[in-house]
Amino acid sequence: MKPVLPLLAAFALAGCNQYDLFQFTGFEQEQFSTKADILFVVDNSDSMQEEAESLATSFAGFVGQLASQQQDFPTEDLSDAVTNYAAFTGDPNSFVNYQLAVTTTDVDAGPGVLYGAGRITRLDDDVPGEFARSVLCEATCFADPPPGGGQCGDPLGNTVTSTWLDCECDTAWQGNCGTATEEHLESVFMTMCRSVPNPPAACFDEITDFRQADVGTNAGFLRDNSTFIPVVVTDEGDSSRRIGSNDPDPALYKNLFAQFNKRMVWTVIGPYRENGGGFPCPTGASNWGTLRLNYFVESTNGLQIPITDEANGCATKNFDEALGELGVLLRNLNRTFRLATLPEDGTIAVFTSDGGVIKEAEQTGFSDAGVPLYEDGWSYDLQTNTVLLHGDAIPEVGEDVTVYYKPQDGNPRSLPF
Amino acid sequence: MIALLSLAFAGTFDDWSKATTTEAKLDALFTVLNDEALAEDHGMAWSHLGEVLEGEKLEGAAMIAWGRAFAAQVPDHAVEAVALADQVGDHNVVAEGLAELEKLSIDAKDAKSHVAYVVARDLLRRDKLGPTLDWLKKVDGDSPDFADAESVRGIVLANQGKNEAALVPLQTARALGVTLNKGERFDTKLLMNLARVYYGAGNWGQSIYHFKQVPRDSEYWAEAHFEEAWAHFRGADMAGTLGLLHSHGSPFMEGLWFPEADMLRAQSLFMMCKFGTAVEEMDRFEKRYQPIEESLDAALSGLDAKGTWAELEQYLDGGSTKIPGLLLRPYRTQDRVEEARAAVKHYRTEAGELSALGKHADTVKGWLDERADTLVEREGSRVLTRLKRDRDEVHQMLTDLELARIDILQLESRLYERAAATGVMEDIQADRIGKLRELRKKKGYEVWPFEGEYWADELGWYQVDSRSDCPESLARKIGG
Amino acid sequence: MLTTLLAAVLSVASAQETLELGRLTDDDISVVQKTLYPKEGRTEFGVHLGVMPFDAFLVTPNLQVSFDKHSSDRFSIGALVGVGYGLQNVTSRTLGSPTYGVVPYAYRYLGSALVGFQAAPIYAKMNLNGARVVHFDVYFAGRGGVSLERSIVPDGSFAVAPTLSPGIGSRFFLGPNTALRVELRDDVLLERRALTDKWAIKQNAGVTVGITMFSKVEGRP
Repeated sequence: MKPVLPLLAAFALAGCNQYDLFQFTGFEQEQFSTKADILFVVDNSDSMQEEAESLATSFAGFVGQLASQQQDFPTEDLSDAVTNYAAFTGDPNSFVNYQLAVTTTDVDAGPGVLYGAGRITRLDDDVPGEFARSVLCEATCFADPPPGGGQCGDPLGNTVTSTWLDCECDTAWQGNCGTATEEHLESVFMTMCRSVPNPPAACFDEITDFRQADVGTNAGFLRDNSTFIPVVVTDEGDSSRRIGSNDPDPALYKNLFAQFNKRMVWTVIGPYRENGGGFPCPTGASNWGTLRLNYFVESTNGLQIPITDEANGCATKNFDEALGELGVLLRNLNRTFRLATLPEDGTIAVFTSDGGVIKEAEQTGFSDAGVPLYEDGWSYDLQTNTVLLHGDAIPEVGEDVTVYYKPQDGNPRSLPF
Repeated sequence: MIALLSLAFAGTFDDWSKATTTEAKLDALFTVLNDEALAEDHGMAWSHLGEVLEGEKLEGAAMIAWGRAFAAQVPDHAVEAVALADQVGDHNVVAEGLAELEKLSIDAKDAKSHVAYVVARDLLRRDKLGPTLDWLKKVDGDSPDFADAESVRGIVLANQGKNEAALVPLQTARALGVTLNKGERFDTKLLMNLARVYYGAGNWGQSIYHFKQVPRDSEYWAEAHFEEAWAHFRGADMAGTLGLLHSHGSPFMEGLWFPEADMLRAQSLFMMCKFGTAVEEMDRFEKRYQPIEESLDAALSGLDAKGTWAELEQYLDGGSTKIPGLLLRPYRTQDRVEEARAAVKHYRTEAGELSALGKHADTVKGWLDERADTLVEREGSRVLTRLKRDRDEVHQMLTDLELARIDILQLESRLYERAAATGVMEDIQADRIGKLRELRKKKGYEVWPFEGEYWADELGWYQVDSRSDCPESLARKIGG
Repeated sequence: MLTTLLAAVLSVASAQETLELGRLTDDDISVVQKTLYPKEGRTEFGVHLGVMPFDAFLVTPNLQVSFDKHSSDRFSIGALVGVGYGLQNVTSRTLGSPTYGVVPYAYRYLGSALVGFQAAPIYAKMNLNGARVVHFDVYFAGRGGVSLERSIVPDGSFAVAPTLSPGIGSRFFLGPNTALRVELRDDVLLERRALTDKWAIKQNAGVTVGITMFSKVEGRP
């Protein structure tokens, strides 16, 4: 029987097959969450009245688009969580657990203040109404008061009237014109400072009016595991105060935002500047200010929506279309995948839900905002530890993508064995 | 129709031929049979009676009638009669009459051969060896019965002590059996007969060769194995004898009746001067067979042939018997017993189905009952005779044991006295006493040790590797 | 007389040591049994069901087809072709749940083709409660060939891995031409793993149970 012993020893080793353990996203908690905290940063300078009105009147359709594919899922207890999970796994892209807020680019008037109803959740009775009141009553500069018409109680409809404003806002809609120095980035930063219990020190810099008393005034807006989506609606470039004038590099703000460790996807409904070119529809926005905004859109794989319609003689963009694109973005957030831990070189693999392989994208250069540009595929951003999908690799609504990678330093969670 | 009708019978025959009912036909025929004055016509009347009864599907009664016709030298319907005998299982009822025929007037070769073979086999069963050979000559060499006929011829010749002559027909029969695809059982029977004939001829090697070919799953295997041991014994191969008989000492053979095997084993041990084991074997024999002898003696006391048959039927039907079952076991597969049981059952059944015969039913019933009783008497008597022989043989063996013990004691004493006188064992036969030969493994064989436990698959594969313990002087004594 | 006899017996016993005079012992008896289940010159064809249960993350049911040519009762050469599919076990599924989001970069068995030899030095039998005697052999197998595996990470990468496969098994003879074959074998694979760009040793240890049929021997049923 002696020869049997080494053989048995060999069998014993079979239980010790060595495998690298790959982390994967897609079903990771962060990805499972469809929480989207959407901050509308409305340029309330006097040139933006028409756009703000259009935003408010188009919003009902946008909310309807989101609500049409979801039911109300309470989140009170474990049972609710299970219901949410079931709804998500049934069709992860049809379910957006969003909340909204509105602020302006006028930081001096109130750094990071959420106007109107403050935080609007999808469970509120009248989301479009709340949003419209937030935008029109406090975040819009009515340089030319709209004509009257209708009576109190009438729905907003497609046109904003002074009667509606008087009925819904009393006199609050008047005198809300902000400064001509639009500070989109600073405004977003301040909103974030007000949302967390322990803001980073930069929030309290003397350059701002942010004080200890402001801490937590936006509590509940930035939720755990949510994706923070600033939606900038403007016809100007950014002129935030912490960056010198004419400086197109927003790296300083990038670092400030990073301190909140929050996944961000930027949307800018604003001036459109072609890479390597100018503005097909000039709105008076500065080159450098526009590049700052472009940087965040590009680096977060976000959405750039021209506020002007080049095909329509550079008229103001139809906000139904703009918000439609935003809706698609919201329902399809899985275009960026933040990895739980650093991957080993060359071990990232990205697949579609049907097992198709998405190839690693070749970098084709840099945008004018300094963000790398890629062909179709995925890329990895070491700085944010994020896998980004580009071009055709961005899944359609209803599709799923899974990212596998081998962690550099073992697994981020203790494993059950 | 061979016989000429007498004038008297011609009138009755006319009545018979014109009769439209079975009863009327029987009236006419029985009138002839009951008239001693018409004795010369009885044969023809029996023959016609057989025809009528066969027409009524009364096979047993028809055979009886034709059998009497044959005895009266009316050979008509011989082929039909034998076919019915094949069907019912009682050949003797027609064969006895056929055997008396002076001439067998059958044109078809195969049919004639079959009738001849049936008659020959019946004659053999009645130990009429000469007539058996005469009838076998009537079997055509190309007929399907020729293989069986040759087999019977071999047995007859062997029984006449002509062993050398018996080999040829037996080998012919075996070869034909293969050609005609007569099956393994036929072949095995011939193997057994060939082996026995070789044994009778003193050709131990050929006898052993043929016994060895009996398949292990055959009903004859235990018998063959035992008889093969005898062949070894007669060939002075005591170790071979003991090896073969070792199987018969296993628990798997306890239900078989082989007292002679135990005695042969003791005898072989004795011949090898294995006195200690021989005595143990004798003790074991006495312990086992003394109660059986007493039990058998009690069972046979007052038992007649009919009672013996009843016991045998009870045993074959799974019931309990006074006669020890291991003595009745060999009859389970015996053709004669099987045929007799079937025939008796047929006669008894047919006796209750005679309504078509009207007032003659009782008469025919009497024939059928008588025939059934005859078969029971004949077979019961045969079994009883054998059982008594078995009892007597065991009794004789038990008696001989005492003498054997005395012989053993004397020889054993001489063995040790010589050893004590010289200090060493005397020149030992062969190599050395009790020395085991190295087992040489033959290709195609596996060798297992025997550790006192019998395994079913090892039966028949035992070998004894011990040499004789006899010093030369004792060997001469024992051998002489 | 009695004293003399005893003395003689004692001296003989001493001289002969273990030999017993006048007795037939079990040692004098052996069973020289015609090999009931010869293999020499026969071909053996078998179908086997198996499982590879020893991997930490995969359990692999499989089907194997064997063909062996026995040059003697002790030695044969043959081929073994198998197909199967490695299923993720409970551990693996737990890891893949939202709680952990981890997947082992394991390769699942899809098939193998091996050739090699068997050496069967042991032939034995066992008595089942006296009711039945079962003959069996014990063999050692050495095989080599290739295995086909595929990553469970859905990149679709295959590995065609050179394979060495030692094994130990036993044939339980059910009839003259039939055997129940139980085998424990360990396929040792050298496989290239594409995502990590590494060579790795993997062991597919498993148990198979199958029925094999032998070609008939001339003169036997």
